[in-house]
Amino acid sequence: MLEVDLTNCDREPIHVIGHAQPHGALLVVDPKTLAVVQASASVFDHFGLVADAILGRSVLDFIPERAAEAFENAVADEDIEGNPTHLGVLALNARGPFHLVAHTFDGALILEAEPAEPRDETDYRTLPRRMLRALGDAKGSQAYYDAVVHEARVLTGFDRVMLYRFAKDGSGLVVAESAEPHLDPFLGLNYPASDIPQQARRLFALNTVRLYPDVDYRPSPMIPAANPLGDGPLDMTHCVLRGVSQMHTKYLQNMGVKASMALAIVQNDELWGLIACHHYSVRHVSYPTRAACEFLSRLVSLQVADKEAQDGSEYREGMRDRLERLTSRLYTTPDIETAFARGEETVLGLMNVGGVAVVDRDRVALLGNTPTVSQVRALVSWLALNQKEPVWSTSELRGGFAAAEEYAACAAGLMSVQVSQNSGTYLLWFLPEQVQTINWAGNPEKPVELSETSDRLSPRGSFELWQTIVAGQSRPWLDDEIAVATSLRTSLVEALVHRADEIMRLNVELQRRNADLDTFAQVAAHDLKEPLRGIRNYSQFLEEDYADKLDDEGRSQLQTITRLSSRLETLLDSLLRFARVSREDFGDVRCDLSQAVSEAQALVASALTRSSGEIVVHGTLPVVTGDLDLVIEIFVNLFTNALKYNESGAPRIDVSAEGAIVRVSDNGIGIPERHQEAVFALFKRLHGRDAYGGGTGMGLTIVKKAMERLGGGVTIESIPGEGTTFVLEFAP
Amino acid sequence: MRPLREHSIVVVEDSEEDFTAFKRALRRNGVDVSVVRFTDGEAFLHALRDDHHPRSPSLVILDLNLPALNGVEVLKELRDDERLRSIPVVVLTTSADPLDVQRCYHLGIGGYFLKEGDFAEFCGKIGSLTDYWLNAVHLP
Repeated sequence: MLEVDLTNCDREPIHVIGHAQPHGALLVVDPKTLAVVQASASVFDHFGLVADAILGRSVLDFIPERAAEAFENAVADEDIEGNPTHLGVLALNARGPFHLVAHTFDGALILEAEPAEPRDETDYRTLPRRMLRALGDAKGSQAYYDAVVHEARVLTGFDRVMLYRFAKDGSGLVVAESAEPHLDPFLGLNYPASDIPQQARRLFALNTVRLYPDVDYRPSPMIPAANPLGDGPLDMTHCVLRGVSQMHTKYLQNMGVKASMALAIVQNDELWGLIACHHYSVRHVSYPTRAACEFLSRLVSLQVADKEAQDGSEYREGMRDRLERLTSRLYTTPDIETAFARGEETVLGLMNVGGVAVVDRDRVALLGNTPTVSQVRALVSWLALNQKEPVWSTSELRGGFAAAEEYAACAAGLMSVQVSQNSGTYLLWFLPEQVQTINWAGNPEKPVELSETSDRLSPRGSFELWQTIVAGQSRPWLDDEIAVATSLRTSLVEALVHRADEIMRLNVELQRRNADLDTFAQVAAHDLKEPLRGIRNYSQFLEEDYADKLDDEGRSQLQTITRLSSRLETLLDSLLRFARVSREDFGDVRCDLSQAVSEAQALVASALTRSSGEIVVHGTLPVVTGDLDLVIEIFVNLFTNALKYNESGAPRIDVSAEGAIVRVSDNGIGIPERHQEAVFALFKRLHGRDAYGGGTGMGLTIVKKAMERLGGGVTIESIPGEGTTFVLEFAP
Repeated sequence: MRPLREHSIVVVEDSEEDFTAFKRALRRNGVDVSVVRFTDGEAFLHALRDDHHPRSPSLVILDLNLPALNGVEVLKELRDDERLRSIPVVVLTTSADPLDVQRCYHLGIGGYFLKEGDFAEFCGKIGSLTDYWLNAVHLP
């Protein structure tokens, strides 16, 4: 016989295990002749005959005469093929009574006889209704699971009943438990997939109910060992009395469990889970009770999918609602971070995750438990190169990205929504390592009776093995969650496109308005100059022609009119210049700043002489992007100001450059810091109208506007009383 | 050369005040010529093309901001017309727009003058202008 250990238990051929449990007797009968061809050794205990005394004889010899015909009809029925069927309670070989279960399989008729319980107090008539009510009332899957184990325990009286559910990877989890209070709970325990090998699962799915009333049973071998009706040992796939696998027996013994029953929960022909019953002393379960258990397990098989679907749908509905609220915020907030990461309801609450990172270009916002900002940036860099689909998920990030090992505790699982690969805009959801969230209450101190071959065969051993298997992994992502993330991405992209359109529209609108404004300024300045000129001229003509008819006061008033109109004309000129600077299209030309400065110098030559000023250029000035006339205008304005706002008697202007940054420094009166922004405002002067030679307050406005048009900017450094430096940043 | 008295200047100018200022400037410079004024380009062109007109002007002073046909369009018409092409035209306008300046010279004007706010300066310019055109150069 195959010696089974941990290395080969998945190849143990348990369906041809070759022995029966001794609490019943197993007969193999030739369907055609009804002769007994094989029997378990336990026939002696139950019928009082050794196997050899039965072999070869007709099975009818042992069945009461009045039952013979019914028996023959029943076994001829095709329905019992692979389908153990209760034939009734009857005496066999004048002993018993026995529950007789029959099925045919692989060309053999197999009869299994178990002693019938004399008295059974279970009210089997009301049982189904009671069970249906208890399970039907349960709201949500957890309440349902709890009801299932409760009903099973009431029905069977086992010390411990667990509902055990398989995950996609085959590992198991105890999701509900009803047990004697003094027992250590196994609720929340995870088992690796290898704990229940594939062949065992297959058999569970076929058998529905498996009972081992005494794990320390003495195996009752089949006699003869080989099935005369077939090839090799008897195929006991459907046998109720089939012997137990060695590994399972050892496992139960390690736990101190003496009797065990398992009820299969099957979904779509696959094992969904088990109702596992353990008892710490030998326990028989009568046939009728087992039949009720079968009813329970089939009922659960039918209902559990619905209950879980309900949970699933509640979660799904919840996510959809939250998603809707989040995406609507996209249209009213300026950016993703504000929409998703701020306020009471953030994207963290959208799904059951550990943490979320919202990455919008260079901004990273973290919510919940996440890797650090720099770790997230590194992850995004990797994703930018490797993520092929718009929505990608994994439950073991470190598998693809080794650096993720660092933070596997909080981010073993990742779902990445790539909004824009180019601009590095991502939404990242993180799931913690599964082992972090498992709270198994199993007692690590409790000594376990272990055989030498393996301490692996125990709940703790199972859990530790499971832990190593799932290390670095998160729970799997649900299809619903991936669907929600995909929806979110679509909405986000739509919102961004909408915003881009909106921005474009606003830009066009802005440009149009600017154009209108500039045209207006231009036209206004132009059209206003004409009557203005008229006023000046006529004031002058009046003065010339009628001077002798006016007294001093009259002449003075006329002069005032002239002076005021003059001022108005200067203001209009400045406005015109400003408007032209704003409006004109300069194109992509290059300008030699040395040339611009020397031409500006020439234009202010008379002012230089008048004020005894000098302009000194230090080193060479660069060639920058810009229109020459515009640049000259800038320097003319700065030079004019420098010469005007100076009390030293010897104004001096120094011009130097560092790269594309030019500094124009003077030794003038300076500009206090609190006014340094205001001086650029339209028509703003810091002094009285006629102070420092008067002025329109437009000079610096034009300088600033011109620098902006050239793609650069201007800033001020100044200490009142010491001078001012204008820092001009040109586009290189 | 025609004696000064025989020169005639045509001014195409729609502003009454500007025209008054111009005449005053002429007087101030002691220029005594006949001045004919048109307030719009159409009338001016029509008069020029009219065969009953005694002779072509010695000089046209043309404003650019005119109602209906603007100054540039008038210039174009003058240049396109074989008979009127050689009449000396000088632009006197408020517009300092380089584009306008460019266009006008392209259309063969003899000079581009800006209307000044300062009357004294304006007089000086008008003096130079008339001196050049009516005294210095030989006219067609």
